[in-house]
Amino acid sequence: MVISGIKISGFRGVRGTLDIPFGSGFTVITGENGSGKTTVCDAIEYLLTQRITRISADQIERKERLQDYFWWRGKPPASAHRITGTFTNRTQKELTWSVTPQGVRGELDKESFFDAATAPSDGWMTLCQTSIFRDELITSLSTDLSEATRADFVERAIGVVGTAEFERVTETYKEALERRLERIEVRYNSHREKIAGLVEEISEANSQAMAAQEKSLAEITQMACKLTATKSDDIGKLLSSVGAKIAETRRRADQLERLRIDLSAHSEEISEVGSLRRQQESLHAEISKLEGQLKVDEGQLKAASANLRAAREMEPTYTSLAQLREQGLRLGLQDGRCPLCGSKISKENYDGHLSAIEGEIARRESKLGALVKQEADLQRKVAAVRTSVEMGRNQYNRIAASFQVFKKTEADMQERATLARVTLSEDALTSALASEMAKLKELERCSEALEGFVASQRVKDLEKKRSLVQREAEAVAKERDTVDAAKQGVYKVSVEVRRLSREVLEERLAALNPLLSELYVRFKPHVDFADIKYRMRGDVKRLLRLEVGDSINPRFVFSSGQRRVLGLAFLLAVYLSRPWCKLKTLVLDDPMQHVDDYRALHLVEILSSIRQLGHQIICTVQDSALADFLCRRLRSSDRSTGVRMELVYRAGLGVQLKDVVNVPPLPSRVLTAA
Amino acid sequence: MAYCPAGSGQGNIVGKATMDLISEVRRVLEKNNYSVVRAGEPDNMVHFEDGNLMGFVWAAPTVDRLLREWEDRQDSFLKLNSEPLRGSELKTWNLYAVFLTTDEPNESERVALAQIEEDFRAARKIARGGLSTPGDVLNGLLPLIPIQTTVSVERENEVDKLRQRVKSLPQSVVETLLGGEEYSEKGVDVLLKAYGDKRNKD
Repeated sequence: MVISGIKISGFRGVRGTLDIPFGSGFTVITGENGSGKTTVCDAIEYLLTQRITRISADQIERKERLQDYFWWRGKPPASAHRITGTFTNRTQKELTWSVTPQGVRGELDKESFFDAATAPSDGWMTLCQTSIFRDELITSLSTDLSEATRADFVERAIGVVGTAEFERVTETYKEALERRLERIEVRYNSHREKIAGLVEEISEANSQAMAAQEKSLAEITQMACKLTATKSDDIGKLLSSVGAKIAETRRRADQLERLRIDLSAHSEEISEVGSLRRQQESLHAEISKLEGQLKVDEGQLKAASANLRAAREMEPTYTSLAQLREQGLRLGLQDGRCPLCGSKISKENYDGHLSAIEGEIARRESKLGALVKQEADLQRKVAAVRTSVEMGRNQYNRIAASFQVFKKTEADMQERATLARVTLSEDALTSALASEMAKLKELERCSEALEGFVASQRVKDLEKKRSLVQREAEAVAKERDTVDAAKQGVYKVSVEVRRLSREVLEERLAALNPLLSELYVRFKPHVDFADIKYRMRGDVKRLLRLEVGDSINPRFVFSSGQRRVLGLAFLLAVYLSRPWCKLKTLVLDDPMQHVDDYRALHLVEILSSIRQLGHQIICTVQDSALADFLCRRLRSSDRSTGVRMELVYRAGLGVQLKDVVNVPPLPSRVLTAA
Repeated sequence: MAYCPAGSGQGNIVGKATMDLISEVRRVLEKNNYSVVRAGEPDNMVHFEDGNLMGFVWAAPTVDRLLREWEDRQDSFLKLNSEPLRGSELKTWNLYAVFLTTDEPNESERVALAQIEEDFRAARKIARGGLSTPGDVLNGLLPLIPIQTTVSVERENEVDKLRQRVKSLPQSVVETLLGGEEYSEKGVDVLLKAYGDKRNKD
């Protein structure tokens, strides 16, 4: 099976459609950086696996999707997103299918590509990883690769060892038995916990039962009946009655105790009643006296107010007199006559009258001032007496209210004493409380004894239960031992399967070694080391180490170019060692990078020697002269044709096919024609 | 040489004195579908050609002569065949000048031989000394011939091997694990019964 063509639309750098016809023998693709050579390799891988391994999820930003990088995302947008591949088998039967961002269209006939029975479980992936060699893979899978990764890579490439199924089945049984063992362990632990709990309960019940051993059951029953005033020989009922009685007695004792405390507090308050009474009487006398005083003061105030009011009623008259006097003084005598009444009057009399008016006005003003002051004084006095009366009355009322509280407290306590059937006195209460406490103690002893009997009965029950759980635990332990033995058996088989698997693998690797040696000799990466060997080690984690000379790790003595050549030899050995693989196409993406001309020549010779085995080679190179060289050496023939093409990237258009040329076969007879 | 897939061990049987180098070259090339013709006297040089490559092989009697004469041999070949070579321009690029000798080179000669191979003028050169066995010859001619090693995987009966290794286990256990059946709960029961019985028996 080889690839005969691929049509790429809207994928990676291809915006339009790139229709690539592969030569059945070889195809050399050339072009500048970014011209789309790698895109062709990506498209082949994507067609087979719907992945591009060199672009992994951990390389992209969180919000991006890998798919976004697989398909054309430039502007203008692509009219279609699709890769269609055509493969041809030996009988020239063609297989065609397409992949789009939505998935695969058409059926991938897996059996045409690899033998499913012997291929690795991830057949498509391994097929691509061991057929398409890119710069990244050549570098990473060269000598710089960790020995474990290299071993894993080779193991997968070699294919499934016949014991893999057993490995899987025994592993499943082992896991199943381990799970079962875990469950049994949980059950066993649960039983052990139950037993521990029962032992604790038994110990507790035993110590309770000790109390019952001092008296006989009859004595205890009799005592309980007496204390609870009941008749029964049922221990459970008696225990319940005693418990109720204890609660009742404790309640009554509490009541008595509280009443005793309240009575004691009240007695202290009563001792203050005499003093309060005297205080109340004194207040009463004081208030009466103040009320008498208030009456007198209020009378005086009333009279003073009346006098003031009367004096103020005369105010207009004295105002007129003042005005008259002002006029009289201003006008003076008019020709010996009074200017007001016109009567004849002497100057002395006239002045005398005016002085008399002035004196009258002054007297009047003096009297009015005295009356105002008197009224204000009396008002203040009355207010002060009133306040004193009010305060006295308030204090009197508070004392009266205290007497009411005393009376109510006394009535309440009396009621509680009546309910408790006890006289309301300190002595009576103390005596009743002592009696209840004694009763309580007796009841508790009785209860303890009864519980002891119940506990001894419980001990017997618990012992029976413990014995049962113990038997169950032993059965579980037996089951556990059986499962463990089965697990050991499966483990033994598993170990043998693994060991055999390793041995088979080693044998297959031994078969691969001559091929690796041949490729190494053909490459001649290092002049001092003529041969290479591998060494496999590790049972669980296998390690594959490459060695040259006297067990020297080439990683530390080869230059980067030499390591790359060795890496290529290793990859080509792996490519040629896949018994399960039916695809005979080797894809190399610019393999000559960092390789000198001499070793590039060797690589081309090796590719030519692989071509001679009937393999198809697709190789991208940047250098045009190298492309020419490859075309001359990769053996184009009528039955196994060669194609050379050039790709170019044009802005806005993406990758385009610039040129496609069928490489003609070379003349078969030149030197030996004659 | 360390690699000798076809002639491994033959070097011990076919000694230096008994191997005719040019005959062995002819045998290897013809086996790999090359037309090989003698290129005049003495009988130590052949021309070879297939659909892709062509050239000549000179079996030099000594390393010393090889180092002294290789350029002359190449030049005379080119001169002698200039007409057909000119007629096939592209194939002329695939020209090989192969210089071999059974004589063992010393260290400085080995370096000188390597330098010949790194000279790309006119033709791709192969220059090897100390070719004492058919395996050595094959190694020398590797650039001209297909990959020689094929990896074949022999399918052994791995189940029988495994059964033999775990025969101490109860038969029903072996059948459950290696009988080719998938995992099942019933299988687990079989394992437990087998070990339960074994336990009771013990």
